[in-house]
Amino acid sequence: MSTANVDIDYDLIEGIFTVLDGNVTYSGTTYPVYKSIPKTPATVYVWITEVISDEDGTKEDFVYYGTVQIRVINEGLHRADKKLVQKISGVTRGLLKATKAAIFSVGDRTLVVFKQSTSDTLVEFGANGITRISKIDIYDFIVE
Amino acid sequence: MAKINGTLYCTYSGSDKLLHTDNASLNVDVDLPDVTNKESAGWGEHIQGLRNATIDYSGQYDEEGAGITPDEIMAAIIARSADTAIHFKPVTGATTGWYGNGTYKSIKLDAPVEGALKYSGTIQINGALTAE
Repeated sequence: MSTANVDIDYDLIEGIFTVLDGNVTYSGTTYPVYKSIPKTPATVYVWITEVISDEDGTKEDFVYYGTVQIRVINEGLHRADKKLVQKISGVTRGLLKATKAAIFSVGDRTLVVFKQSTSDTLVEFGANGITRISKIDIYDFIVE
Repeated sequence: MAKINGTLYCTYSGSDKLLHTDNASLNVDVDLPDVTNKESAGWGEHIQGLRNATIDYSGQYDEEGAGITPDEIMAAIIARSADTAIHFKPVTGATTGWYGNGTYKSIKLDAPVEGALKYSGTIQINGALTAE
């Protein structure tokens, strides 16, 4: 376990990015994965964001519990067609959890648990109608 | 009044600390045998009987580190190992600690689905408990 209090956000996001980047392919199209959204993002993309963590270690060591969001976002629709983001979300889930016990590397930290938690779909409207549809998967993690 | 951070108080076997604990509780108890009789004027009475003490511990399962690991506690129980000097004391500072000969009475490993493996158990003090 970690003997000094550290920030695990970067290692966790980087670990998820390494698993997903270049591999999120649905129906012959590979979709980009962002750790931070560029000034001109693709129309459909995956965004790793919103790490919320808490330290709950032992009397010697630090252990971090929390959640991270994987958002599949489609900014190119004018109707609430959620199929594409739902299908891509299915791909990301399969990549991150190939088996129930699967975990991936997170830099020099140890990922103890990574499991899918709640999921939600967000439809945002602008002056010209629907501007963005987001499939938000929240994952629980334990990192030491 | 000076408050004390509970993180400082740990359980030791000799000079070796029980590792990776997230809680430790020292429980001290005295039996109070009832001696109420017809001359007690309707009030319950007791005498002070046998004393005993236990230490409950719990933590994250981890085999690493120099000290007492859950594996070693498990081995001590299976082998019926002899008592060791058990201390419940602060890692640093001059505040009071307590010690006595103790026997590992139990250990439990909890393995939840998609959760951290944890351990917990009890040490029974065998004989007197003394402040140090």
